[in-house]
Amino acid sequence: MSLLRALTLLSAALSSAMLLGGFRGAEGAGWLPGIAAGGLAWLISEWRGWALPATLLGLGAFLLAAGGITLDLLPFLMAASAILAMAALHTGHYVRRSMAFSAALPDARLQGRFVVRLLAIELLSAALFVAGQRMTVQLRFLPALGLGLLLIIGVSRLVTTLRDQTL
Amino acid sequence: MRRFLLQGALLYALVLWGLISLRGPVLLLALPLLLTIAAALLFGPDPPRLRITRSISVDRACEGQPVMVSLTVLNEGGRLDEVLIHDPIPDGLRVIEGQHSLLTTLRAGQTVALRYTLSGVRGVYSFGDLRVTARDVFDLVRHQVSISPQSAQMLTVLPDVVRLRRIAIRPRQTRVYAGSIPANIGGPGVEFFGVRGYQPSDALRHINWRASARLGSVLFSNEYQQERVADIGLIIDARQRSNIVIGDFNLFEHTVRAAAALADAFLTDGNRVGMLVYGRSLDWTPPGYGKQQRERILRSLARAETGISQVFDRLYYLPTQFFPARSQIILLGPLVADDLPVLVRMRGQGYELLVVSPSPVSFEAGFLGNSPETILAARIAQIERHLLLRKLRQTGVRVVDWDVREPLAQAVYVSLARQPLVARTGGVIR
Repeated sequence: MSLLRALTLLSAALSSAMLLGGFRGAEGAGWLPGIAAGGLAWLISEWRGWALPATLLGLGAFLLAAGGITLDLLPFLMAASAILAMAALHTGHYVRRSMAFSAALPDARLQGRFVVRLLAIELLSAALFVAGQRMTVQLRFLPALGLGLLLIIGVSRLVTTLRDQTL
Repeated sequence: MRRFLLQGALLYALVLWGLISLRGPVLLLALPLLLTIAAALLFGPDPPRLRITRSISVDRACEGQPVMVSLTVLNEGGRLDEVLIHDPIPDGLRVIEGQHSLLTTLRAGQTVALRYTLSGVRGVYSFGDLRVTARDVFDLVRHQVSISPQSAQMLTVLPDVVRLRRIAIRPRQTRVYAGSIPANIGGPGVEFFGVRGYQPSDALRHINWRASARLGSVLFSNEYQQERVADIGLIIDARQRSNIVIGDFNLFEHTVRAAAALADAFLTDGNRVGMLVYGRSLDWTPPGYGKQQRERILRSLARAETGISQVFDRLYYLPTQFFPARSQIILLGPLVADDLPVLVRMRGQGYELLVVSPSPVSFEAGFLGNSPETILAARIAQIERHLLLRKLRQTGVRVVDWDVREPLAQAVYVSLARQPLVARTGGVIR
């Protein structure tokens, strides 16, 4: 469990550091202290096991990375930060719900399975992001609109399926 | 908030943000979220199908006695990566060792065991269904079900029984069997009862030579007071209006402990004891002897609780016909002013009445601090109570005014050390 905890803290620290690095080029002096303070608060929340602030700050890091991309900051750094933020969110939640029970999750294979799946998702996401960055798609307005609508419908369908599975 | 809602909202936000701002990289940021959801759906658990057996080491226990609960969980469904099994503990019981929840992995056909030890206060406890939550490793897909375990579901925690020495009571009528209560009948015994004419079977040492010498021609023998068992009825006042609850402390618990101690003492002496709990309803334990009756009474006391009833709000409807005529009745409970006429009526019906009354004034005063107003209020309440008890005593009812901060035994022996004048003179004050 201490390994997963270390992984959570490392992911959160790296995510915050990458955000800091990415936002160094942004205009306006208020970003960096804010991000540094947020990152520190996130680390403390993860360390102390405070679920709500840790989750909100993790989501904030994710959204900040999206904001950085919108501001034309370093996209790879922002994507890496977002992926690491997601890893920290999942591992943090896993550690917290396991720590609630003193005799929790004695099965080391489950921890291994969790880490492997998370790592696979992160690597696949990173690879797809890199591939996507190299790809250029030119679409007319109507097909683009249709594809966008299809994407939204697809996401809706996926979330609905997820909700139905959660009884 | 559920994890899937959080993840779904973030996914939506990123997709809309990417589409509106026409920035592909923002859309690409949604990929890790999409992949996580896909992994959760792909590797998510099926609804758990478990067979759970619960066993409790005893079905009855005393207050504070450790009781071990064992659960055996057999997975009859597919593999469950992460399953949380939670056995809810009824209010009044607390876990003193182990955990009543288990977070584990269950392969198909695998069995796991969960053990914990608990103890609790007086009561009858019903164990409910277990809550089982199965989820994927990311906690996005979650199935929550309630499962009824097989076997043991109930635990009775009996009240503590304080051992009392012999209690001096003198009912107007005793039963035919030998016991420890002095009867108004001459015969074999220890205490002198009277003198009667000599009969051929009388032992020489029982001849009263002084009385025989005085009359000269006839012999007289001493008679001794017979000791027999008696019918004793316990009435527990479980009306909410007469009891006091302050935080976790309830005056009724003292009443119950006193009832348990008295029932145990009288049954140990061989008497026939019945019990009526008078509160929300009537819980009647018919009279009986011995250990089985002790168990019946303790079980009845275990489930006794205060309650409100429009019918039984006053003692007026106390069914005295449950108790044999001229028997000893012991009322346990704090008294209220309108109880007096009913108790006087019972006394008039020929019952020998003893009231063991845990004092609500001293009980409540113990929680209220030492401000001058509180002390004055407690004194006024105490005077009112003294007046009520005095009126009762004047009618021949014996009263044990029990300050619950003192042991019951002390209060009983101090109050019952001497027979009241009315009882000693057979109901007539000369």
